[in-house]
Amino acid sequence: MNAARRSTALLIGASRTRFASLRTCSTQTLRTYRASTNDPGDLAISDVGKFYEVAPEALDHLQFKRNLTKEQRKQYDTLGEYLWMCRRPYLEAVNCLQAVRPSFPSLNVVLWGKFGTGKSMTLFQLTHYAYSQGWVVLHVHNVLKWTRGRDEIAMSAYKPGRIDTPIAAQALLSEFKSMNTPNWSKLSECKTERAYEWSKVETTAKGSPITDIVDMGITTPHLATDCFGALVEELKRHASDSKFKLLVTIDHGNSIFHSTKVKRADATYAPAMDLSINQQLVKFAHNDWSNGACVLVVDKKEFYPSHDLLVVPVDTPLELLGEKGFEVLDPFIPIETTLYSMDEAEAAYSYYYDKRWITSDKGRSSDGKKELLYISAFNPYMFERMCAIV
Amino acid sequence: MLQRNSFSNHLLAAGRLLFSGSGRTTLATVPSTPSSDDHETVVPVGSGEGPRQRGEQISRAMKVYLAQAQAKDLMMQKERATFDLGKRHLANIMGVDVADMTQRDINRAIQYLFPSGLFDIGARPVMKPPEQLFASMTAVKFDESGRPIDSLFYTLRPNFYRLLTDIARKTDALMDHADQVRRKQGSAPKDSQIISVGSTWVSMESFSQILGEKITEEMYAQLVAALENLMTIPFAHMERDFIFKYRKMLGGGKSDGKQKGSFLPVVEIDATTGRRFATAFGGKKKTRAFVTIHDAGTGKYTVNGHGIDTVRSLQAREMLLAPFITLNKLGQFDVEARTEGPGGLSSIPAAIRLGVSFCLSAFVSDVERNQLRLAGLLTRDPRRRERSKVNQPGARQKWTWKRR
Repeated sequence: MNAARRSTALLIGASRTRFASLRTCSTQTLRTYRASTNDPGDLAISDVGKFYEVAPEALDHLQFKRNLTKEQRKQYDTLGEYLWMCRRPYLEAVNCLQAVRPSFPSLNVVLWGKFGTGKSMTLFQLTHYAYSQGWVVLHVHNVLKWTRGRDEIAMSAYKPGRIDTPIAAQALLSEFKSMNTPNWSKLSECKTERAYEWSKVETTAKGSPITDIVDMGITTPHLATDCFGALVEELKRHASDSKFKLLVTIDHGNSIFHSTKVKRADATYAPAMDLSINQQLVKFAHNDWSNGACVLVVDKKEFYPSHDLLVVPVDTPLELLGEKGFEVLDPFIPIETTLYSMDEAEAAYSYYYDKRWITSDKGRSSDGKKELLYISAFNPYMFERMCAIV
Repeated sequence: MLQRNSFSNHLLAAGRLLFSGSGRTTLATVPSTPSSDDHETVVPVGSGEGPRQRGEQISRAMKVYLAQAQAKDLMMQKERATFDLGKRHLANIMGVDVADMTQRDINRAIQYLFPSGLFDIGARPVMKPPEQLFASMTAVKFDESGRPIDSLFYTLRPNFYRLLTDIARKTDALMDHADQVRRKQGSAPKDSQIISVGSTWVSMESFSQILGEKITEEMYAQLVAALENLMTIPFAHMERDFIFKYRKMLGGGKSDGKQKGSFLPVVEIDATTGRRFATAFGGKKKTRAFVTIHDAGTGKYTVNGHGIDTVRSLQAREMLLAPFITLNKLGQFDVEARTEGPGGLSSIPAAIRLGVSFCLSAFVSDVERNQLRLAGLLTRDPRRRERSKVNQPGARQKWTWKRR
């Protein structure tokens, strides 16, 4: 941290006042970085490298703020708006999603790429796209949340040997409810296929709305995992019945197939597939259903400690998924997220410049711009970080 | 100046054993006695009889000079004799034939017999022939009437003015040559320039040493201006050797382009792409980096095949790009670096940075190269890992003291 501070001190120079010389942004600069439309479905290849604005209400429903990184939260809080860049991987994935229909088996899409290139961001964008198109959305923010064994666990009543993660399942269900607020009435029209007997007391009758399952899981945490499993089955069935289109987005998706830190009764670590929630999520990857898609992010976080700055991590899907995961997902469409191209970096710079996210005179000069671009090595994350501190 | 230490009396008596540390001989312009073979003879000091002639007046002025010259000559003879005797002694001690004893053997014998751990090499004992240790004497010749033959004698700085004259003559000659070529070809002569990148004029002190005369700042400026002029005219490369006698390589290198510890890279042209490239080596501690940079690039930078976006440390990335930032040349060169040996987030970038700086210095102008040098980018970090000591946990660290 000290090193970062020291090195950026060169760029910062003397003036550090954020509002030293506020200028209204000219229309010309606006045109260079704003996309032709704010509708995520209308974005075209000509909008690559341009920003589109996202309505805050949509993001409230999508629980976006909750899932933001600390850095993103700071930026959005300061700038007071949500501008996302339309990038090529996003358009490629949207192109895939546009092919989703009842007659096609479900799609598996795998987002992969280097550190900081926007895998999770593209996933958010796709969730937002599906939301805006009226799809039913199930977003899993982080698989590591339950595989790292921080939360309490319970032994499954449904199948002996399985492990339930009530807190994670409950969170997923409540997030699902929030994300599908506009579709909630549509979902409540979908009826359950069979009667569910959660426990001796709690049951859900056959033909009751599937939203009842969600509500049941949210109100009774110890049943949440089973409820989630039932929801998965019901969603797949109704999507295949063309009641709605379904998008499942899973961040750190490769962690479904790897080791866990969840301890069993005999103090050994449980394999990933012993967790009920993993078993249930994997069902989306089987293409025995249609009219939907499952988008996974494969991330190196499963294998590499984030503080290790020396090791060059492997990013490719086969290595990160492992053979087992690869077999489960196969066939899938891999989409690589990349570093900024020159145009994209320029657009990002002009946005940060306009919004005075870059404050120092040095950073706002043409030399400073060059330094920012090349020292960040065109990595979107590192570029934003550098712009934030100069 | 010479006998600073009574180090070994019998050797001192035998041969001149010297501590040449600060005893670097300054060139005193003490003239030697003219040899007897010379046609020009010095008129003896006036006997005081007969009419005073012009020659006598001059020889009176030269009386002191002659006395000094004679004393110096005698001293040199004595020194030579003691050196020869010392050499004999040494040969005897070391058990070699005195006829086979070279200066190198003498040096080795001294090093063996008088091992010195003194840090400054100049402070260690030496034994060298007196001609090397004492000021070389410029012989001034006089004609029969006692006048100096050198026409520049009365300028007080004959060597300086001779050099200036030489430069002027060479300049004129080259201009004439260029004119002739122009007349023959009918167009302006095309000629390869002398590459001045990587070298600079020797300092005023060095000029003084070369000329054997003290020169002032104005004189130094005059010399440099004349040489600069000579270097820029067409066909200057014909006088390259003459010019480079007065230039030294930056970074302590030699005039043949070799640098202390490493080479100034040569710019080559890629046969397929037609782009210029240079290759250099950089190091830090035990990390070695082999760097190639191509010009007319897009700023592509790879380390062991990975882009520098994989380097997640901001400081490391800044180190890697430091030479380009210094010269404001970001995005103009493509870099390929390969590293060997151990190293982490500091050593590897530092080693690569040195290699890149060397490569870059081959492409840029003299001024820019100087900028790199002043930024310390052309200097290898000489620090090494300090060995840990016996009975200590580390290089300097001691075990915690405990009463029992």
